[in-house]
Amino acid sequence: METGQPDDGPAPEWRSAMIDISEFTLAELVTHDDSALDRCLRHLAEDRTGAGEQIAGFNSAL
Amino acid sequence: MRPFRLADSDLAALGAGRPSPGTLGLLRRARLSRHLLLLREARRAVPERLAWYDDLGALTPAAARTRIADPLVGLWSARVLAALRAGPETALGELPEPVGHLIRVTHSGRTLTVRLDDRGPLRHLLGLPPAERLAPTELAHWHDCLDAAWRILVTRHPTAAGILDGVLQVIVPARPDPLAEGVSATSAGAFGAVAMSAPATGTGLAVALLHETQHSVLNAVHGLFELVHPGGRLGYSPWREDPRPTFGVLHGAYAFLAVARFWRTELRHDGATAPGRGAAEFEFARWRTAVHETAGRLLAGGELTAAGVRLVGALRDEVEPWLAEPVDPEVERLADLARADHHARWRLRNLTPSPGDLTALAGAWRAGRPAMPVESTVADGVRTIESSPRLRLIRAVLRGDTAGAEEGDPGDVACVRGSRRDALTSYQASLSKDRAHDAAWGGLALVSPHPALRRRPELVRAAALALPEADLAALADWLSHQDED
Repeated sequence: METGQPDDGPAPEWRSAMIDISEFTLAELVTHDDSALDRCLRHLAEDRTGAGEQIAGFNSAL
Repeated sequence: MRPFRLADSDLAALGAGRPSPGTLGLLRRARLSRHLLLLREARRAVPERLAWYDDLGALTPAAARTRIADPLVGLWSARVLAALRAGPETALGELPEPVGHLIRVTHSGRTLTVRLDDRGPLRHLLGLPPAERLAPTELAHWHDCLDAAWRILVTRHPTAAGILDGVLQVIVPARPDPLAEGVSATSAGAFGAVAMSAPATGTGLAVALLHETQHSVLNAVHGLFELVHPGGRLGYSPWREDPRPTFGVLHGAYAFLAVARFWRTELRHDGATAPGRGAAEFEFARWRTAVHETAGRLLAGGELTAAGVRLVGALRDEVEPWLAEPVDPEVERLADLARADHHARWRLRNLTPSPGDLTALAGAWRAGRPAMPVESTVADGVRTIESSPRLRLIRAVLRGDTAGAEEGDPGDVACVRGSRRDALTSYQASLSKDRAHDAAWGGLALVSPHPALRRRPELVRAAALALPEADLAALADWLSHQDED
């Protein structure tokens, strides 16, 4: 979500506002209060770039 | 819990359409994290027990992750987002079960597994009207086409095959569109899912799947690193009939990067005399230029974030060397014509000067004054699929269908043949009978000697309709001396 910025230095890296919770179980996350999770959720909810719409993509008549 | 991080070189590789297996793994983890976050919110918002939550809890952690990562669960969890944005009234219902037909195809030891979902209750959310449940013969056709597509990709496009295998999980068969030979779509909420009408051939399916996979990848990247700033203007996209937001234009460029690369690679494998080479050259020549030009417009437009600039810069760098690769000059001419035709029709359909400006312009003409600068504005339109009569003729030429290449409006036939003067005469004759003849305006924009007609046909048309007494050529010449918008 939030645009990451490359760090200065020889190996620049982009840092996301989203956090990796893929190794957690849902039950662990449900019982876990964490402001970082709430921030991620707000970022998702605030996305206003139109990314949520379906992309009616390939049309071979074009 | 750590933020997702991506090396700059990995973001550049994504922009070039060549993500590493490690980057694809990161995108899958990002999507699983997104689903987990939204399911957590859905669970915490309701105090009473929820059957779907209890069902997930009964699975092993690995099985639960697989289930939660399913693209259709992504569509379901997107409803949580809708509730967050619009209020808590959105009914979530039960978590969708993974249903449909599991298809496995193997070539050279590489296997692709895809679920063909012809019955899931949320499959309509992918953006196309879903087909009814597949009959056995229809299922066999899908299997055969997927088998052929996978063979093509594994044999000649191994990197693209790896990307497809790393992303694609679900295909939702969609109803065919009578105005298109094939349609397909993706949703930002469903990483790894594609809706598409039944393919005609393995090649067609391969191209469509590569195209749609790019949308999924781009959506996942955007979920980590915002690529475009919110807001912004609607603009031209060479693969759509309607004005598109910046992120939509970027989607098109990214998807057609894969399409151009597919045809480029096919050309290298097929040899100079293979049947269908002209059509492959046409697709390559048409899309390499469209992708390059669109990337350039995106980079100059000021609506990309820093991450977006990095990604689109890498995209443009990837395709730029392809522009110098030789293509049959006649095919190149037809590809240029097809792109110009699309752009002219798009302008005529979607742009217009304001009524006030038009009145002022008509007054200046009648008073013998120079044309003042007048802007054309984009109207937010409804998506349409409109096939071009000239594109139909071009495809007939590429097929070697000489009879088909003569069937159509005489101006269009001459235009596609390259007889500019004959085409000009024919279009002018059509417009002398009827100034509202849109197809003739589109053709005239391709062959006119007047810059205003070539660059801003919508303005010349609007002026011609407002000034029925004016000679068209004189009017176009007068407007050609106006400042550009």
